[in-house]
Amino acid sequence: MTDLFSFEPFIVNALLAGVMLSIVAAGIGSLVLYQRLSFFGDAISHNALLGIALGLLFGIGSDFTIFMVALGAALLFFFLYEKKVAKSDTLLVIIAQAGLALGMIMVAAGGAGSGRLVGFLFGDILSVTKSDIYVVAGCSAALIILLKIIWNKMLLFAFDRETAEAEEGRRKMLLLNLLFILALAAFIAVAVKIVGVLLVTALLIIPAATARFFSRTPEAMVALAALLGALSVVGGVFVSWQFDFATAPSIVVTSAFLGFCGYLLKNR
Amino acid sequence: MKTMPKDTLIAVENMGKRFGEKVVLKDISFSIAKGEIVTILGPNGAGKSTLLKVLAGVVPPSVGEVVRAEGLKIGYLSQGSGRNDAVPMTVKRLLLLSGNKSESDMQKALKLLKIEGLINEDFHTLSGGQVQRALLCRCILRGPDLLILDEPTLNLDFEGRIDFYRLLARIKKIYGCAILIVSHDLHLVMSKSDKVLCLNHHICCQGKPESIQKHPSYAKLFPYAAAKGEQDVGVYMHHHNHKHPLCEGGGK
Ligand SMILES: Nc1ncnc2c1ncn2[C@@H]1O[C@H](COP(=O)(O)OP(=O)(O)O)[C@@H](O)[C@H]1O
Ligand SMILES: [Mg+2]
Repeated sequence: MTDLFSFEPFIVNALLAGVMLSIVAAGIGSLVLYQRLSFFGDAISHNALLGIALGLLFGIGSDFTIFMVALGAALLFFFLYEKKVAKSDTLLVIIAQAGLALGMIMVAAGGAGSGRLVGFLFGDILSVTKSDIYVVAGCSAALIILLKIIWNKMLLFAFDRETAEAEEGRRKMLLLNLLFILALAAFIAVAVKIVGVLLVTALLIIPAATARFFSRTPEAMVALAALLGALSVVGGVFVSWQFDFATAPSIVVTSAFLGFCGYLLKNR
Repeated sequence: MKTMPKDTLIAVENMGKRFGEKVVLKDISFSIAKGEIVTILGPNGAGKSTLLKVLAGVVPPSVGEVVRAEGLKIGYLSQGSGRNDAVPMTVKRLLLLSGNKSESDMQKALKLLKIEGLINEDFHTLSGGQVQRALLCRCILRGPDLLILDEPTLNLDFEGRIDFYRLLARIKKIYGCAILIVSHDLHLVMSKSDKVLCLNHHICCQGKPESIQKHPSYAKLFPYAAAKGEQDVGVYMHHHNHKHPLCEGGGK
């Protein structure tokens, strides 16, 4: 049991980054659930791989390229949706898969081997550095402030769209929704490094969905989701450390397990 | 921007609304003054909800514009009964969605609506009538100049409807707001209205309730109610002997 307490610095970094992201994920994930945008979040996060590839190709930081590609994917979706090219679920699958596939090809073209590809897909939380921590902390703080600004209006919008538009005006609600998409893209850009392209939506959705079982207000839901997310990170890191499992998948499985327990507890 | 008489809250002139090819509203002109109660009557699919959405600013008009008094505050209660239950919500939290309200203001509004016992209830478990009251409570707490209500009595029984109209009269008295309401309860609502509008894609007739009941268009639109009068409260039928060039492809 002693090795449990003699954490290496990289474990501390992993826990810090994971917990901070869980807190932000609780707020963004709740809004994603309220607006039934889970698949939308999933589709644009798959495109993060393309962002990583572009970062490698141009030799610039991938945070920025992921953010831009995620935004691009989101805008592409809205454009195709407005043009009624196909139903939204169809469009989302196409955008997710095409972006992921293109990303895979370009990552290889950018000179990254399959080992690094796995890292991109499933995250590499144990390689989080001190400077990554500062980036995560700064982005988290900015995102929490942004969320706080748009929170009440976005709640009303999700709860009753027409009332929100009547009270705030259509244009203002469009702007707030755009800000929310920006926040989602920024979150994905930061979180992808840590939990990977394929698992980032799990961090957004699962704790929030579990918290919904026990919440009577949106704020209670966010608080509980943050707690559940943080627990999943700590539990997942611990499990992967003890059993030598991959870390990000361990976090997601822990989170899903907590969700299952939540369901049982709720329907006892 | 057109200028309006000082007392006018909102006005439209020759406003029209199309969805694709489908013309839903045409040549709509009317205005609502401070403190007025205006009732809209009309058969299903007449464009009543669309008109309310245009006035509330939820839907843009295709023709013409909506002119609002400077800083006009609108409370809009849409026809849909359920609200998104993915969002956890108590009645109290709902009231606070419109900004910070003092406990005493909240209690006053809740009492007026006779739902003070529901403040800590889960919104999504309320009955149809309670939902309407909770949403209306939120609307009046925002201190609107104009309340726009789309068939708020749809899910209420007869007693409930009478109760609701009494409530509206009290809200108007206490908060001083104008009210625009869509209703099928012809006679219940008429007597309390300052103005009645009969709508079937265009305005068939508008005016004071007494004069409306004598208007030939009204008799055409509501033959059953017009013929049998008061004892027919609650019975409502639309007979298709009232042809509109607009909605029936040019009459005959
Ligand atoms: N968003 C929309 N898109 C297309 N058609 C619509 C839309 N909203 C309403 N309509 C059509 O407009 C007509 C009037 O609808 P509505 O205003 O809801 O009528 P009412 O409230 O009087 O029953 C209906 O035929 C309806 O199908
Ligand atoms: Mg309607």
